Amino acid sequence: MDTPSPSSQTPDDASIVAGLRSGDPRAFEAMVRAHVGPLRAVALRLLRNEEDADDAVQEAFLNAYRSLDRFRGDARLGTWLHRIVVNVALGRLRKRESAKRDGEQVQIDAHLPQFHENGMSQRFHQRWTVGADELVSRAETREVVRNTIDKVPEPYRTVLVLRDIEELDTAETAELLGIKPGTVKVRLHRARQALRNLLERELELTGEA
Amino acid sequence: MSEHDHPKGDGHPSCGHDYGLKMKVHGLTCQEISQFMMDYLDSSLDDGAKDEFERHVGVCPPCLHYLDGYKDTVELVRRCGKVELDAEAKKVHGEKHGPPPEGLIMAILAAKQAIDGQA
Repeated sequence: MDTPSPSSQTPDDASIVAGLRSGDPRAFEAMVRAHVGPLRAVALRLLRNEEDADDAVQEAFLNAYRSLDRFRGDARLGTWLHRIVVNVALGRLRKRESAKRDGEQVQIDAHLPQFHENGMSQRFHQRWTVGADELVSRAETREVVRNTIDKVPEPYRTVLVLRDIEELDTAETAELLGIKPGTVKVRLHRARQALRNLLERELELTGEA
Repeated sequence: MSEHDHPKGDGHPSCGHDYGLKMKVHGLTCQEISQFMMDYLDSSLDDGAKDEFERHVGVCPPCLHYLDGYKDTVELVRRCGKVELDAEAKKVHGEKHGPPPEGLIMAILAAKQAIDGQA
């Protein structure tokens, strides 16, 4: 992520950080109240479970409190907390994924474009009948998009969330997941391809029911 | 022939190429267009590859439509994800979508007090 200049620090965040460093107990509560919403949204996107997300948010705030001396004064508090909650959520996701496999999620290959041996597509892709602007304007479509993102198989979905929603760059995503940048790019591309296919079907975007 | 009548490996009639004999349009196959799509959108293809990509897409409607849908997918993910964030932020401030997570805030503050007590 970017490294904002000191001027990007909001006055509220600046006073919160000063309060935390001086040991003001009210500063911690102010930090929690100011940032719990966005952090919870991030945790929910990654974990897709309210209880797990709340646990991750709590752990993130406590980690932040314990490691306050590592917070650089020129960074944004929200950016720093975002990084911490993503780390916590990914740790929980890894444990969960290794403990069970979601039987409802089909393999990614089923959603990727298929080609003949000569490199020709097996499908004649058609123009979508509705554009992104119109789709985003409909609440029900936004809900379908969010639900469809959840159908992208792991580990592709997590990369999609980190790169295209949380807006982390390739290098940071690779570092957080402990994989190579090239692997991040491959997973992101496959996730987008799978989602394109799923959305086309879910939203009937080519007029084919 | 309509777009629904996609031939099975016979080529794209609208491209004007006989794919039965020559599978590449301007040096790239449809499969390669699919593989290079993200690099193209990230502007990380070199000039030669970028030109080949654009020449292919310019004469191959299926690849053009696939590219447009891919771009719309990225746009939908980015913008719908933000919408979710907005809703969650409103939830915290009690504007709608249920009560703010006061219980969560209290749990976090209690856990922090427990840490302070151990220090």
